[in-house]
Amino acid sequence: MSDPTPKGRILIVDDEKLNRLLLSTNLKGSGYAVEEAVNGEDALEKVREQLFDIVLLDLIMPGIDGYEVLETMKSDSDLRHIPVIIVSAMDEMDSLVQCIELGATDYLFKPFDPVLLHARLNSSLSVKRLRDQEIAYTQQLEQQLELAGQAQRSMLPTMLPEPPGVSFAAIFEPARAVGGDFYDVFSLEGGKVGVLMADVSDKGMHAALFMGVSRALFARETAQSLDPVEVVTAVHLSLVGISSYSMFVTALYGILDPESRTFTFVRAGHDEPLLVRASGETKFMGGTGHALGMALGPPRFAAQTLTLDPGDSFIIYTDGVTDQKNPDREMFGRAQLEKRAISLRDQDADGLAQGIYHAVSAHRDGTDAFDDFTLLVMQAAK
Amino acid sequence: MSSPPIFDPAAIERLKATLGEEASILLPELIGEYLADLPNLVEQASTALDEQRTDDLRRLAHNMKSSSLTFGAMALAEAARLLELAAKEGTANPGLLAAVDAELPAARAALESAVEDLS
Repeated sequence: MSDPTPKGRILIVDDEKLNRLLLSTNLKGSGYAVEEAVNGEDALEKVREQLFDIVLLDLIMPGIDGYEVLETMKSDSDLRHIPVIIVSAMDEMDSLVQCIELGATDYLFKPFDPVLLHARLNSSLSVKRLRDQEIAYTQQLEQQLELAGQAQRSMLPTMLPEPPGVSFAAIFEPARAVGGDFYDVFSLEGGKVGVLMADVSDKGMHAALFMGVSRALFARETAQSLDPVEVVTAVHLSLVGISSYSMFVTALYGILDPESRTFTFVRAGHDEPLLVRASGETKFMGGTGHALGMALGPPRFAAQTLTLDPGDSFIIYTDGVTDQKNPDREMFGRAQLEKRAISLRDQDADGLAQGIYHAVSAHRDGTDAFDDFTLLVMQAAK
Repeated sequence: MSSPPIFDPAAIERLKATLGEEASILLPELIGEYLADLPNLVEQASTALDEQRTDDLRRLAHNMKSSSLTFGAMALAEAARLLELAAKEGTANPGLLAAVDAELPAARAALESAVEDLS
């Protein structure tokens, strides 16, 4: 009775019936599942249709020969991981060197010795199994990262509030599957609007977890207080209290009163937001405040208030905007951000955000995004 | 270099090990097929040689070499190897094919005797 779980699936490629018969009789008798291909065309068709653990490949065949089969397999991302063992005559040594260079795993001389055949198969199969495990593990990780990314993106607002006299526009583009930036714009009692942006130190899964926690803490605290200093202080103390891990988050949180067009905010170690007046006058807003989550002494946060006059814009962003490098490794920088904001200041909030995004993309010019890109524009109606 | 022996009995032992339980039935059949096919291969090679189809000549010689090595017909395999080598370089050499043909009777006799020993 044949073994229901074969030791491996092997494709024998040889135009000579005798060689195929010898190999397949031996391999079937040893518990392998065997398929035969009578020439190169047949072989390529079969490796594309079925899964094999190993290909035993003859070199000299009419039509598509063994070299071409090998070359085609190794240049195909779906097939290149299948080990190929060359089975050839001993006087074809030069060809074997060429095959190893092309990516063949091993070789066997004809007429083959059955003991050597099995030694070669076992060795190639172990390598293949490790590689298969690696691929499965990588796919699993990618899937988990994708799900984590989806969960993160679901924490971002889908619609921004539209208070009278003030408009908002936001652009968020994560650099990887999971990111460390987040923002939110949400309605508060009395017609007021909460505006939040934050950037977790570092990147990857641990940063994503820290982002989720920070996001939840802000949600809790903003529902309890209308004082930005209180909110930021409470989030900071909670983060210090729950995590001894050396991570931190920079944040900017403020409350807009659309009626008076005043915005009172705390900058907690976050990039300095840019105020662009309708006149073209600009100012990067500093202020007192450190990053959240690191116990470096008593909390020190102070609020500052600005008033938006008609046509003024306030630009909040993360360092993924200003620190984006071009192919010459030069950063986009604050000066360019300021210059672009001045030239785009007559646009509406959306046009201003898009204009800056396109300027950063043009600067990037095909290089990798090193960090998440998050940009929020708050603009007073003209 | 000394010329190879007509027949290498180790080849039959290797085939027995390769075929396992099926050797007693399969091996005599395979040797019979090989011996029956040899004159056809020589004839096809002769036509290819006449028509200067060196690629076909090379492949036919390669097949003869490969199967002869499998069954231990060493002198025949060597003659086929020389024919294959010449054809690979684009030469259709009638003398080399004649040398292959000349090895057939001895190879046949040795293998027929080996089959008798199997039973």
